[in-house]
Amino acid sequence: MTGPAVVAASRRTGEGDNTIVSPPEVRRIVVAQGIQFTRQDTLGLLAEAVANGAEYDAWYYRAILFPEGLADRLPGLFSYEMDGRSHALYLNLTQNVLYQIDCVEDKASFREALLTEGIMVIYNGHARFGRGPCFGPPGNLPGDDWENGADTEHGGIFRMGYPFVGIPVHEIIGHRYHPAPLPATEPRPPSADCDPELRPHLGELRARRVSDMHRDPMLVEVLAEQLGVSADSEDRFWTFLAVEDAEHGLETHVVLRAGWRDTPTAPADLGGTDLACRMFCHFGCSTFQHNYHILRNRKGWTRDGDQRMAYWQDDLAKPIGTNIWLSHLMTYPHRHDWESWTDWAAYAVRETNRELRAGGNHWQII
Amino acid sequence: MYTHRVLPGECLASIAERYGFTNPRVVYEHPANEALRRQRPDPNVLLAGDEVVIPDRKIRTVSGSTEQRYRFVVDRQPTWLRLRLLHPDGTPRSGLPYRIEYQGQIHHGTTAADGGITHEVPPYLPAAQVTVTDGPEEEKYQVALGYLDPVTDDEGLKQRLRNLGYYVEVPGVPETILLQHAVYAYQHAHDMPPSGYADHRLHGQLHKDYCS
Repeated sequence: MTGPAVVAASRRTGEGDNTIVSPPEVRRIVVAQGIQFTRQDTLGLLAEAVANGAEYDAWYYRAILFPEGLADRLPGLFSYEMDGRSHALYLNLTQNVLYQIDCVEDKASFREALLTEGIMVIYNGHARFGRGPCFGPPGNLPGDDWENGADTEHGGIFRMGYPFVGIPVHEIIGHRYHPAPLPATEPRPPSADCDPELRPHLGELRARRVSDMHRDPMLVEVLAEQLGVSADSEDRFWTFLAVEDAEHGLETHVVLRAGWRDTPTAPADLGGTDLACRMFCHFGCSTFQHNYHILRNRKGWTRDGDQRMAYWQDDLAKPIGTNIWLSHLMTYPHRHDWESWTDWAAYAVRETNRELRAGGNHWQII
Repeated sequence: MYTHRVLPGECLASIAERYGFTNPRVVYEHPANEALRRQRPDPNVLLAGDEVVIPDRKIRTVSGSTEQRYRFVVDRQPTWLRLRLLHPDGTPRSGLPYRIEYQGQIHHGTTAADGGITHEVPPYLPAAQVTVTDGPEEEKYQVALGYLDPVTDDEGLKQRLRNLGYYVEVPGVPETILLQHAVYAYQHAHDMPPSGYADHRLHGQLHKDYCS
């Protein structure tokens, strides 16, 4: 405790006392909800599921909502709205810790949280094929918020991935953003600079014109505009063929510049951000494979005892993990004020993964 | 008789002392203070603005002869600084060395089996610093004596919830939210339906837990 604490007390002339209990530690957690996972988006999906009588979907959307999904797990959670954002407070008397949880939904607030000393920051949303946390307004609208951001300070990707990624054309066309494809006039990217999912395809890279990237001429027109060329341009870009999902089958993937330093969104990228938070959890899909090396080795944000802690997800995941993770942190069954975060986090990893496994999920937190 | 309007930091002991009474019960139990007694059942916890009727002092005449020794007993009610230190789980923090400092005096002691610190202080003493040593840590409390408001008052509610570890200042969170949360958390911890709003039941439980 830093002191002295001011205590209002009564003078006693007979019976009675002034009871003083050691004050709890305040522990702040910022949950950053990515694009397509905003509160408004999820509330809309929940309402739709309820209206359709889709019980599982209704349960699921409520379970991922903040604060509702967390409150269902922690009956003592006190939630409130302020400045258009959702917040919660939770006092665990066993731990003697007061949790302050703030939910943010824009890139600037996410970056501000990363710069805040001593707190935990959780990103909950799309991994964007490893490019980084991504933010945008509610509504799942197509546009540049799926890449650098319509307003690069508040929306778009907070870049923290390898310099090059391979992205299927349906993803680019579907979201209608303007990426930076790697021209075939430049050498093939070195393996070490490529996202792990791109590396197995480096030997198959082919220089393709935009007209060769999709069989539908109308979609070629769309893609060409997004790549910054005309549909009949002879400019070629590095590409490969692969199956991203069963729905789209074998399709062209374009090698894009992704990067994490001096990007078009700088300083709202990892390179321009001196992380001061105590723990960062990147709960997007397969973030361990995509982003661990960049943060820990290239950026040099290495763990130091129970400082600079980082947690990831190891496979394609659903956003249900965040509320499960929070609830296990917040119910750690020992006194924990001003203690090291090591055992506390290890407990939450173990219990979250146990619950995820029991629920039939194939991904875990590492 | 005179009507005294209570100021912040005053209690019946300090008011009685100010008007020359050595036992505050003489003032508190005066028939003219019946309304005060109903409103403030604990004379040590008044609210600024309360009115206390100060009775006229009675002059007692005693006759005696010279060259004789007489013993007079003063009807005096001592005033105490009393704290009870607890762990968050409610167990007492017993056997901890403490130091009380005020007006240039330093007094040492060890917390009792119930976590208690009891020390006689002047009735008008406004503040004392209490330092408790727990292992390598020193905890310092600036105890503002007489400033505890009645539990039914919002400030008194907040003071007790703060001292019991429920109300905590959190940067950026308005006081009204913090108080609502503290009430909510207290209700939840005591198996009351959590509403975030204080009621009779909460006041009673809090008075019992805080012990004043």
